[in-house]
Amino acid sequence: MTDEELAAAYVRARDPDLFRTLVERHQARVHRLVASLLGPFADTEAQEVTQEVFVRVHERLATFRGEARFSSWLYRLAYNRALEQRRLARLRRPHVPFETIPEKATTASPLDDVLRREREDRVLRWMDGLPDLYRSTLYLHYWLDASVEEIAELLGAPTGTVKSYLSRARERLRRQAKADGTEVSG
Amino acid sequence: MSEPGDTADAGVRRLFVEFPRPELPAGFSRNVIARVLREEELRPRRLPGGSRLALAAYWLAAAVASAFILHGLPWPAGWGLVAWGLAFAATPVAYAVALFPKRMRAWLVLGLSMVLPRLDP
Repeated sequence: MTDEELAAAYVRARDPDLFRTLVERHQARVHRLVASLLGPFADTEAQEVTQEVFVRVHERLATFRGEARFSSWLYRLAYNRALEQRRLARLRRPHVPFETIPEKATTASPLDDVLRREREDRVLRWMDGLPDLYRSTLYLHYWLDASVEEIAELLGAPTGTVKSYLSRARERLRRQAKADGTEVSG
Repeated sequence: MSEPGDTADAGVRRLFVEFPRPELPAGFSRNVIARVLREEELRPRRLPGGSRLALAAYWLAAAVASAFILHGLPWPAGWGLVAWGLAFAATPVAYAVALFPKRMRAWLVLGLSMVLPRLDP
C-alpha cells in the first residue's frame, strides 16, 4: 500500500495500526531532518519534536488531499516545526556554551576532553552562523550521512540544487572557520 | 557514500566525527500512537458548519448591539475609548484564545519574535 493509500484508509477506518505503519515508515527520516535543524546535543528535543510532527500529521490528515506526495507534505511539516522549535529555543537560550554540553563518556584524558569540547563548541558556532537551509544540508550530509538523493527528498528540492546548497554551505563554513583562525582542509 | 566532491570534503566531514548521532528510542511509534489517541480523546469535537455560522451571527449581533449601546452612553473623557477597545479588541481576542488556544499562542510567539530584539551575543 502506498503512503497516500494508507493515509486515506486511516482517515476512513481510524485503525491505529494503519497510522502506526505510516509512522514507522517515516520516523527515521523525519527524526534526521529535525535533528539536522536542531543540531547536535539536542537529542531529547529532537525526539520530542519528531513526536509532535506525527501528532500534527494525525490532526491534519483529514485535510491531506493527495495533491502532493504524502512524504513531501510530511517533510515540509517537519521542517517547519523544527525551525519553529529552533527559533523558540534561540529566544530562550541564544547560544549554548560548551560548558553546558552534556558530558560524553570517554576514556581520554581530561585535557583531551577539554580540547574536544572546545573543538565541538567552535564547530557549533560556525554552523550557527549559516542560514537554516545550508546548516541543515551540511548536518544531513556530513553528520548524519544522508546521500544527496535523500536530502533532495527531505527538502523537496532537485538533486542539482542540493549539490549547489552543499557547495555553497561548505564555502561559507570554511569562511566562518577562517575568520575564527582555523583552516578547514579538504 | 560516493557523492561528487566527497573525497575533497574529508576536512568538512572530520568536523562532525565527534558529534553523537541522534537515535530514536525503541517503541517510538507505540508512544506516538498512545499520545495521538490520548489527545484525540481530550480534543473537543469540532463544531459543525451550521453551528459555526450561528456562532458568527451571534457574535456579529453582539458587536452591533455593543456599538449601539456604547455610542449612546455619555462617557467621561477618555473612558469611551477604553470601552470601545474592550468591546472590539479585548473581547474578540479572549474568545479567540478560548476557542483556538494553539493558533493564538503561535501568533503571539510570532508577534513577539518580530517585536523583541534578538538575544544573540
